[in-house]
Amino acid sequence: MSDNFLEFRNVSKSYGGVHALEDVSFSVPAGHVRALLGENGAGKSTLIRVLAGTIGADRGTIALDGVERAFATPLEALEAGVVTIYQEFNLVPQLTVAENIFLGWLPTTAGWIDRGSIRARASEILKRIGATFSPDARVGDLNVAGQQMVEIAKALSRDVKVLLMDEPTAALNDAEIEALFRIIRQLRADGVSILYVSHRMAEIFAIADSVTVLKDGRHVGTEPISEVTTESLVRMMIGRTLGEFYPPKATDFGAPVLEIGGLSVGKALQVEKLVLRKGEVLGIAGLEGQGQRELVQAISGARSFEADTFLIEGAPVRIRSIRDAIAAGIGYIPDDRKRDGLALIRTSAENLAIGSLARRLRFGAVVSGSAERRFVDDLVAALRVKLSGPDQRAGDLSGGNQQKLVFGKVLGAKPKILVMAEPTRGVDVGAKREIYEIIRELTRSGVGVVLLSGELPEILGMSDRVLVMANGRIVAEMTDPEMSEEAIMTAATAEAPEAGVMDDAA
Amino acid sequence: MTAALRNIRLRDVVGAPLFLLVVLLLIGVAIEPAITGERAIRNILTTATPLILAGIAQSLVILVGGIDLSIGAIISVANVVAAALMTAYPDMTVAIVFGVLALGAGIGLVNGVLCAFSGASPFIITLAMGIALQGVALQIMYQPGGTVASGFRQIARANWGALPVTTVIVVALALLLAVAIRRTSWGVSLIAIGGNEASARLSGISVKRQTVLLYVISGFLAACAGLFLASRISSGDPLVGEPVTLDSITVAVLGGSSFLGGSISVVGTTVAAIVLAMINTVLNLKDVSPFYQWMLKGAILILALSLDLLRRRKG
Ligand SMILES: Nc1ncnc2c1ncn2[C@@H]1O[C@H](COP(=O)(O)OP(=O)(O)OP(=O)(O)O)[C@@H](O)[C@H]1O
Ligand SMILES: [Mg+2]
Repeated sequence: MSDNFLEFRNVSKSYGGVHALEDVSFSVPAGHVRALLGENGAGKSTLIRVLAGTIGADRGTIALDGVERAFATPLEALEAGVVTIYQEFNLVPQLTVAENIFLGWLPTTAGWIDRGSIRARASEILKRIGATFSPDARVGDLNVAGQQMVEIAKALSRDVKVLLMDEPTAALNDAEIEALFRIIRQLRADGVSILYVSHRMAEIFAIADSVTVLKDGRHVGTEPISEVTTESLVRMMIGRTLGEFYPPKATDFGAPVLEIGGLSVGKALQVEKLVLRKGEVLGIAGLEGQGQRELVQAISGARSFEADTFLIEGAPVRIRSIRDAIAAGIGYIPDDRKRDGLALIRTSAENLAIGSLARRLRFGAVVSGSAERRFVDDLVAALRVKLSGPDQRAGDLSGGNQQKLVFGKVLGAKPKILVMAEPTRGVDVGAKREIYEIIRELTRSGVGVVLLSGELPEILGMSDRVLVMANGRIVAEMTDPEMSEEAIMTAATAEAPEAGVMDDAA
Repeated sequence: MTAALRNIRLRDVVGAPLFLLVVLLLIGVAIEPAITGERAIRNILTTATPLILAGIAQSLVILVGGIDLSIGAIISVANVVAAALMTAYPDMTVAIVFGVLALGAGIGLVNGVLCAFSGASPFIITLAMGIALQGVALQIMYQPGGTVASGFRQIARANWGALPVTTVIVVALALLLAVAIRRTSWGVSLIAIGGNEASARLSGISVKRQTVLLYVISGFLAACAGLFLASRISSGDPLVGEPVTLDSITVAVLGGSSFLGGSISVVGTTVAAIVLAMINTVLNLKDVSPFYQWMLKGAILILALSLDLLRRRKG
């Protein structure tokens, strides 16, 4: 095994005027985990796509074990043992988990799929990564975390020599991440070269042997993990240091902006009372799948629900669709941007403007081209969305920049209540801070915020009050002095989920 | 258990394509009880046979996110070419049959290559192809005419008891195809292309090759339908396939295909074709004017499309 098993030599790639990659050279040894870091739009995914054979480089070459290779198709890369877990999911919702895992090389006898064999092999891989769903489940029925597990299982089913992982943990909880790390370590011991992209610093230090940082498509540096700190990495990535990560919390709150009583979504959610005050960030925490998603989806009209009372600024409203919610002043940032958040084939400007259209049209205004442009420019600047121009297709933006776009789209509607599910998923450290600042600016102007996040540090850093959920109910409410990771986890796990014992109250 | 039952909503039941088909079937029987007779059943199944072929062709193309608006015209061309050649060369029936099948597949190949490689939408490509082929059919035979060998006529007339032989064979092949879609890697890759084309490509599936193949199959099945019609009416008719394009879309959607791609039900499409043939028979027996028949067919298609949307909307 050589010390530079995988080698990028002067790789360049541009899209129109955007230099996604410029003269990038570095190498990764066999049996090594290399973290690939950089801001949103730095070129990480582009580099991975070049290696995986989905796009061609303009210049430069890639060598595997000393042999120059240029993969013209994903299939060639897969056959050479270069396996990729892409940032955006690439699963077929209509097929089962097992069929997705083996898609493209389903084992067959005389043309017929060996159902037993794919099911058995899929179960084995799923067990290895700690997934609990069945190989016969339809992928379209899984949540985001489940789909991410299928992506991972799909990669592991191959004979891997180089594993490329583009933000594989963005949708996973701690236990799932731990299971993934165990597998990464095992693959490393087997001599696999791993390129690992993530915006979560803690993960980098937990799993990587070394880091490579890209900035504006250029290679800034490669260092062993022992030589770097979070601060030095942030400086390499964004060219400056970040001060205090979370902005100061609110000190006083206004009148309740949202009051809900007797809220239920089938058996999945039973909430007796929920109050959100003006200027408050209300964190929603708990183990995965305890009704948190149902809660935020219900509030934002994305899911049908029943409620005894639903008051906004003291006045009763009826929410039966996302449209109703927007009209009532509720903005919603969903956690699945690809499915719910953006019109990927439209331009970035159109996506941003859509959010505010309903509001502006209600006041009878004609949408003028120049007013729309100005509005979009302001949002792009505030969020530092990296665009080649407002006409760039949303689907061509880097993952993190798409997330910023969703954020901007919702802000454009000037909501009174902002409901967010995983708002900083896939967003780089600099922009995360930017988003936290914006959230606080909004609360200072009286907006109430509901924040659902699986990242406890984010919940603790941002929330003025936290609701912990278990079994579809709110099991604890905490404010600052008593709020801590331990307290939340204790509350979340104390009420172990028991199926069938939910009474029919509410 | 009761909870599971309570979770089944009216929407799911009404949305099930088979439910709609059963309702239509019952309405048909109620209006015209005569259609349960042996002759009527045979007649309905014979009418349904070309529609089953065309419906399956259409649902395969729709499965991968395409559409074939030239199916009807291919049927007409196949029909008149067969009738014209058989009239001129009565001894060469077998060769003519193979030639016409190859012609259908060839037209499909042109459709497929254009759809896969030109970047233009299948809607426009196959619409243009259909119009051009309709011209060809009328050029070959301006009005119904010609005659076919008596042996060839028997294809549409042979029966096993109450059931036409051809229908039985076509339905058997449809069942085989239905299983193949779920149980072969070919079928699964088609679903993958329709469900998420990027995923299919990244998994190493040749999307373009499969797209071309499906249009070839579509052309081939349309030619089969054209030949069957030549046997049934014992002659050629340049407009015989005309109504089939729309009907093929109706039965594909009624059967459970979605224009969003990624879903297909060969069995559903087959049943839908039979039900539509039954509706046609009932309306003809009741002497309903063709204008009302068109309106009714349009309404059924719209109903099927709305149910498809309703089914897919998440609650
Ligand atoms: N198909 C495309 N067309 C035009 N520009 C593109 C395309 N794909 C990527 N880009 C641009 O190339 C640059 C690099 O994008 P890339 O996706 O590699 O970023 P990234 O480092 O993965 O960011 P993130 O952390 O947000 O995922 C971005 O400015 C992006 O807008
Ligand atoms: Mg990326």
